[in-house]
Amino acid sequence: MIRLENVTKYYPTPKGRKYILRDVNIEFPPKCNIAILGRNGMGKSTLLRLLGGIDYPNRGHIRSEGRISWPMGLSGGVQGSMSGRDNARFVCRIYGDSEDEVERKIEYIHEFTELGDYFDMPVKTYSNGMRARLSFATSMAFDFDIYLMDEITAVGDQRFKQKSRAALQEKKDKANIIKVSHNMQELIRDCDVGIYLEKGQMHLYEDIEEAVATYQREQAA
Amino acid sequence: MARSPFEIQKAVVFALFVRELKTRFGKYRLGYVWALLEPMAHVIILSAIWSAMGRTEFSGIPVPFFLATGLVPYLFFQKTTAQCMNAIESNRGLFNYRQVRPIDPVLARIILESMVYFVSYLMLLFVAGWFLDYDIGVHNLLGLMVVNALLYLLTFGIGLTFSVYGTLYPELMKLVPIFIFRPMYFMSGILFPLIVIPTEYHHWLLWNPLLHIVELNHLFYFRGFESGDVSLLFVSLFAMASATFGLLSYRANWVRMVAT
Repeated sequence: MIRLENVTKYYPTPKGRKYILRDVNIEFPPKCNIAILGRNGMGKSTLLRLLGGIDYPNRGHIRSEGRISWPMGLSGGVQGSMSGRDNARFVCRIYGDSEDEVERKIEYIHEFTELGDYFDMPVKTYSNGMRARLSFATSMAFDFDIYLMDEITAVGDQRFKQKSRAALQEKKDKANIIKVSHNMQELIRDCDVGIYLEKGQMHLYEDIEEAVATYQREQAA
Repeated sequence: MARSPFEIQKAVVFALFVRELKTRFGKYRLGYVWALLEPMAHVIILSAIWSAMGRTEFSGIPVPFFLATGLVPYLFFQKTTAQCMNAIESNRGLFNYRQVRPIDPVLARIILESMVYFVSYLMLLFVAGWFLDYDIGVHNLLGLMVVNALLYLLTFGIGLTFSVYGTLYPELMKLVPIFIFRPMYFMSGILFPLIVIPTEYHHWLLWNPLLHIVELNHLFYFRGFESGDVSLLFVSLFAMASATFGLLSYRANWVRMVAT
């Protein structure tokens, strides 16, 4: 369950406030896979950060129940100077795993990422695809109720894409996703409902196809 | 099964501590040795200067020993508070996890530096006693423990304050070393004891809590050390005030430190 109550979020800019969300009240439909659509700069990533509890609204509250993952994206989430292994270990530790459990998960993550020796190299030497693999594999080592995914599936080779879809599919009877992407086929395939983000307001479409159609109409206009 | 906030914070601080440990010591082969070499380098150079000027003791204490017992606490304070200033920035990527709050890397660094301080203090005493044959017996152990506990508290308060304002106003990070650390190196009783300065200037210098701490360290360590009007009460009040100010500043600003 995720509910936004009178949420306002803006960025101060030299030309005044840039609103991302303005007095938004919405309850996310439960047990659904949700797509978030919107043009660049409309605040899709910020919305995921708010849902992930790592950014805070200027006004209002976000209430949520259940375990929500961190926003898996291409930027952030890793510390460049640390190796992939140390990054993964850090995450396991802050989730309170025992040292045995940490090592077990590291094993799993190492295998899933197929990073090989790169796993022990600083993350700043990774390509975007490798970074995404690390971030995705780490989150798959945990059981969340909701996975937040920010364009993460846009990179990576075909093989890894299939593998990650399979891993996600396995979790799907227990877990749901909230996904930001510019790939419409992917959103239609993976999601049930769509939220269209525009000018500080969120429009909920019960049918993902309808949301995509709206987005494409706006794009064309 | 939900964990209590304290359990979460404990796990986070521990994870950050391990990470800091690796970066602090992992980079150079001599990592652990360096922690000890740095204060020793200060001691050696400064003793050489004093001996060139014909000074071998203060109040009967050999100059190198006098320098070491003041420099180690002072460098701990300076190093830790400087490290706190960029604690947030150098862990930016890890705030992607909601468990990690800005105070956690600050705490992790303070804990790590405190341990390094404690160990290097003991090692220096060992070197002084074993190789240089100084009498390393402590005159007032309880007093020494109290003043160093207060040093920890002061470091926490100032370090937290620096981390808050250093993150919000990065230009401060450039000013603090020049306008605070550098003059304090000369005015905190580490190069020479307070007693060598004419008494009429003491009341100005004694606003500096580090001067009190260094002088008290000497006073509690050595029998017969002569000092000025230093006060444990002043240090206690200053340390508590800075911890309060640091916590209030943090409470008021922590969201701004991580929000975009």
